[in-house]
Amino acid sequence: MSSRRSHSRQSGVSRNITDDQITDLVAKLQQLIPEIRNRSSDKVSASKVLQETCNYIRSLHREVDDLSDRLSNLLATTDSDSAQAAIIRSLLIKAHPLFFTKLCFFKTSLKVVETTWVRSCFC
Amino acid sequence: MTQKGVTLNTNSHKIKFARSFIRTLLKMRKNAPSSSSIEEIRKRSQRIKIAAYSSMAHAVGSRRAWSRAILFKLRNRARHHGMMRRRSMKKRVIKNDPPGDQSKANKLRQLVPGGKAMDMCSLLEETAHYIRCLSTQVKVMQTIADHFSK
Repeated sequence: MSSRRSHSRQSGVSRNITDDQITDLVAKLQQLIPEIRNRSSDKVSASKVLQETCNYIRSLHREVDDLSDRLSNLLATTDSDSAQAAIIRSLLIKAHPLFFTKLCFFKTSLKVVETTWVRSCFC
Repeated sequence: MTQKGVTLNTNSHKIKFARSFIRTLLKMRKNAPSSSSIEEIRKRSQRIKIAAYSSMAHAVGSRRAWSRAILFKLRNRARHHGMMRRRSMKKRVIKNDPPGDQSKANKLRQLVPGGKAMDMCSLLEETAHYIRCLSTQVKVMQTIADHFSK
């Protein structure tokens, strides 16, 4: 920990932190936070940006907690066959042309199913 | 880093995170007994939460200070897991700062992993990247939960 702290102190000294840099970074942060982005395109004070950032991060943490609760409940209720069936069903619904050539549905290893599903959903 | 570079990076993070998180979930489901007591569900949800943050930190790698901080914390937690049990389950002591004195920057430092050891400039940069990755994580988890509940 102490080595990291000294490293960051060194980088801070060598970097010449200017006020402009900080205002730029605060403006960049402002764009990421949905409340401020939707409300006003004008300048918002730095302290408000920091406050909204903290609130936003806390709300994201809360969402992760809720989603992990939900996933845990879902894991308890679904059995293995229906989970795999759900994955295959979602592949069919996506109707990606690659699937029909690549997959033999019941013989495919789960890894291939997982990879192609992931790539289709999130690309 | 150009805008295009940024969006490309988040996409690859998204895929890496999704793959590793789903793998962990499936492993968890394979190992889990079919009993669903409330305490087991709660314990599992805690494990899922840790798995989510760990997968995200692994997807980002050691490129960012916040992901390094998460990985460091996880490795230490794994190492001390046996020792913690022996130590009468002492909760981590929260420093009693008087509530009015905490500046907003300090609050931000507490929220971003590894934020306590950063100067203001890097703290803001890390916060921006952290927020982007956190929202990606939430979106992916949402999609997975929706697929499982259909």
